[in-house]
Amino acid sequence: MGNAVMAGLDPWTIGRVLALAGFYASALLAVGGLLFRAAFPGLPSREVVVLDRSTSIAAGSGIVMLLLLWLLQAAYLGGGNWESAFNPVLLGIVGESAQGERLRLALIGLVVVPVALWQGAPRGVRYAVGALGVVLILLAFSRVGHTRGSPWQSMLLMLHLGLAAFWAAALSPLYRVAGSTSSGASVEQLLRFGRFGLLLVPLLLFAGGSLAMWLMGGRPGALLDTAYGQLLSVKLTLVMGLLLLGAANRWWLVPAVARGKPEALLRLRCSIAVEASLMTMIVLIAAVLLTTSSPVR
Amino acid sequence: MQVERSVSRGSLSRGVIRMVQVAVFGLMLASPLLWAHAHITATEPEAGATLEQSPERLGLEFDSPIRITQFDVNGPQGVVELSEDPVGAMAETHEGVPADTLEPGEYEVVWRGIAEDGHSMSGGYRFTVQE
Repeated sequence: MGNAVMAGLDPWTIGRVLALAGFYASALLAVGGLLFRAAFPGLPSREVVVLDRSTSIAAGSGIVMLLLLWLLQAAYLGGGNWESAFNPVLLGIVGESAQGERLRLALIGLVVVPVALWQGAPRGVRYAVGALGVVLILLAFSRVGHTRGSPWQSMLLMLHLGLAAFWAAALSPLYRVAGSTSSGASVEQLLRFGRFGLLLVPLLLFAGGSLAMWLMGGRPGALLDTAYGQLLSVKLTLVMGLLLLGAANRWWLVPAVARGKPEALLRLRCSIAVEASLMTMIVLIAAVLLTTSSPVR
Repeated sequence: MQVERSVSRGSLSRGVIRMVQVAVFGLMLASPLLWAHAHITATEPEAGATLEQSPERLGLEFDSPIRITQFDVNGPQGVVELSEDPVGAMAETHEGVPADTLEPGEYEVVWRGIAEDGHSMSGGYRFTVQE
């Protein structure tokens, strides 16, 4: 009993962590792409084309990762071998589990993403389909793990992930926009994201902080004296770095770019690139947390 | 420019409000069922136990239901055949019955499973049957 753990770090677990991280990143970029598109109607048309293409690719990649995760999960449950990955009984067990529910919800959500981006459809239909996709994908995340069966925590997780997705998907278009700030419209997009940040950051902190406290059983000390808490602390530290960069962009770099200071442009692009790297690390840690360890609660 | 900005903000508000409305409706449809996170609470025999005779059954006990997908027992003679194995059913208690009396020696039970909340779990324990 003493060595009972959520999972050891064997190659199959590493594979599942990477596939889960890939699914997280892809699905969040797909969700964030839709949200960013709705919130930035004034985005230059060439950026809209790139964003739509990236969002569709992210949705496709999310579907591939989900299916890969299904196989890897069956392989792990069968003792860690490829034969188990294609065993119909084990695939069925995964399909009937909470992971299967996540797979079905996310699959439908990701499949409808290109429909929400199709310019041939009426705007109302695009918004309705887009909202449906966003809800299904975010709901899928809440169906596996600690939030399953806790409606309020599920909603907090969905809010947290929705905001994080919006931020993550904004980085690429903002990076490109920052490279062409000769027009006033581009500066306006950067300033606009800064205004969104004033609402996004407090909500993100509220949702993430509440979830962290709940997972730690209301005991902040668990952040230091449990394995799950220690890994969560690393994630929170990276989030703090992300918030500091966001604040620097909002109050220092973007206003400097708006004032036409050329050196601020390069710094802003560097800052956005570092933000993207931090987010990648955060997603990897989240995948490790969900795959290999158990919270206090 | 000012007019364009107002129009842009208006369409933004409408777009976001529509998405939020549909999203809230979707959230209301989400079923609030309760699932707990599973933890192993006991094994049969106890981990590290030294037994005077072969155990009649081998078991795992959890604080909430889990579906066992692998239950392997290895001993001095190699893989132990089970007449009943716990693989498949979603339950809190799982039992395996050795097909034959276990020879003296050290044994290891290795298991894997999936909990109701979707978490994969694994573990193992050892026990010894005395000469």
